[in-house]
Amino acid sequence: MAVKQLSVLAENKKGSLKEILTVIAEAGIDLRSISVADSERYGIFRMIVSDPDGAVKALSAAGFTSRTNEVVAVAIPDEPGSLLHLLNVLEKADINLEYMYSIINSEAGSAYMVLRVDDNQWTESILEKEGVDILTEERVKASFKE
Amino acid sequence: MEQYYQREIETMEPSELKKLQSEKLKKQVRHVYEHNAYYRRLMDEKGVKPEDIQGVEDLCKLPFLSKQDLKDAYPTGMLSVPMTDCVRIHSTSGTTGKRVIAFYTQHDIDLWDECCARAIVATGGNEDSIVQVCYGYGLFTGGMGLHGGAGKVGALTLPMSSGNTERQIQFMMDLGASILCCTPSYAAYIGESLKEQGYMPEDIPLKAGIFGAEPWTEEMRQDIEKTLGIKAYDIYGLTEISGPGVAFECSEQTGMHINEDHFIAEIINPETGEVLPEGEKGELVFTCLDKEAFPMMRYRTRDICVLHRGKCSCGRTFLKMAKPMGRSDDMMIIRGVNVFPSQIETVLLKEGYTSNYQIIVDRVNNTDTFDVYVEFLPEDFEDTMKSIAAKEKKLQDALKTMLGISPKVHLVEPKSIARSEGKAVRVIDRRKLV
Repeated sequence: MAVKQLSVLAENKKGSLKEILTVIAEAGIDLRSISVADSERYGIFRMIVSDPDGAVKALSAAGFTSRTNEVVAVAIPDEPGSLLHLLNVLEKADINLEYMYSIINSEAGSAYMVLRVDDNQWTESILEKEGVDILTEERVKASFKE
Repeated sequence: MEQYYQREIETMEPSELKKLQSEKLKKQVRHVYEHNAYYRRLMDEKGVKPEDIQGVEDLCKLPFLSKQDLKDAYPTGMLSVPMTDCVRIHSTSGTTGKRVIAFYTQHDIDLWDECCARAIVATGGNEDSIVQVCYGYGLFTGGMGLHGGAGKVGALTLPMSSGNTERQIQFMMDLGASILCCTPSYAAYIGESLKEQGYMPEDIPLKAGIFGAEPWTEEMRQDIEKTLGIKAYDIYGLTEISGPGVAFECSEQTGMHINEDHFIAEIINPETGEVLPEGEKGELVFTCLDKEAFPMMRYRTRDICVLHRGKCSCGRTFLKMAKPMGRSDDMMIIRGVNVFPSQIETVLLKEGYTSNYQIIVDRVNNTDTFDVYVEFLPEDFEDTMKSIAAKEKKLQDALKTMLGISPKVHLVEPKSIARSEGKAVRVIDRRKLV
């Protein structure tokens, strides 16, 4: 059920995010979410976009290193403590969360979260048992404007 | 009063010394010609017979040996006695191709130990000294060389080997070590650690240090001398010729006396092979006069250096060599270990990387820093920081296995390492050692 994420490697220098976003914008690709991980020397930009494969193609042509991979996406209630509850579920199942970030969505009353874990299928089965609303690629796609 | 381990040899009249060298050379050429097929072939190709060598002045007729010859003759092609006559080997670090296995008979070990004994006595060492050897023991010649020398002198030897600074300091202070033998950067490190623990130079029992196996500057010497409250002496050597003690410094501290009764030194033009007159800068070449098992003849060290003969205030008559000023090949000495860029390239290709890399060497607080920048393969890129760190660690481990020292590995964006039109700048050495 997992959804496709775009990751881009960039040296930690002025203007690199702008250059990457320019390539994506010029390819007519819409952006729903972005998260930045950075170290002293490089950053990894992770994004949920309308066309991840198209973005990789455009970025590679422009000389950037990028890739797509599957991540778990869930919708949680827009209320205090719901993210905490999600983390408790993961912790109880001994699932190590590499990173997470949120997606802009237009569904009222809920928040979309991206979770990076080692085993997507296992994590989704655990979350399902706990009644967490797991997002499909289609539902995420639907949140992009046509 | 200057002390000598073998006064009559170390202060021999230059004309007598030349006579001694000539006699030994004649004998040695015959030994090598008869027992070493590899060098015999080189001599035959050059049309030189043992009888053509009647003295030191004929040395220039002999063919050179280079690292490439040692590579071609690996592992035993340079052995000039039956292997059963040997008692030990030592080896340089490096790839199989670059690695040299040097063999020693008991006689070879004795003369090497003697050379190190001269170095120790020149620093004021005697049978009452306590010599702390923290060069590495094992295949590396540093530890066993100074250890053997201290044994000849009759000093008490502390065979510490390298590392474990806390224990080094404990033994030094508790036993009252008087002579420290290690790389200059480790001496500086020990000095800093002692300082941090609140010891003043006058609290430290050391009187002298014998430091070598890596390049160091005059500033570094003064720094170490001040921190440890000692006199710091330089020592030179290489596994191919025997190990440390090929040349050693005396109280004058203006260059290292070459043990000329055992080794003839020449300076040549590295491009043409032409022998240069005394005082000119060029590549240092050694001929072993007494070694049996692994007798290098006109071995090109690749060290660029200058020789001087003159009266030394210490009374020794042996030729003096200046600190090597560089290399005629691309070898670097990092933290006392010989490193060739080609070794790094071999590991990168084996680990699946491209050969686009850059090595940056620097010296911070008297310790060498060693950074290797390698370009990512686009297909290796993953979305987590952890995966990048794991790849860097894996490459670092592979490099450590190859080199014997651990560089800091940095994976960088593909195509981010500058590509120049001509020769790529693979090595940036920021240490100002000359």
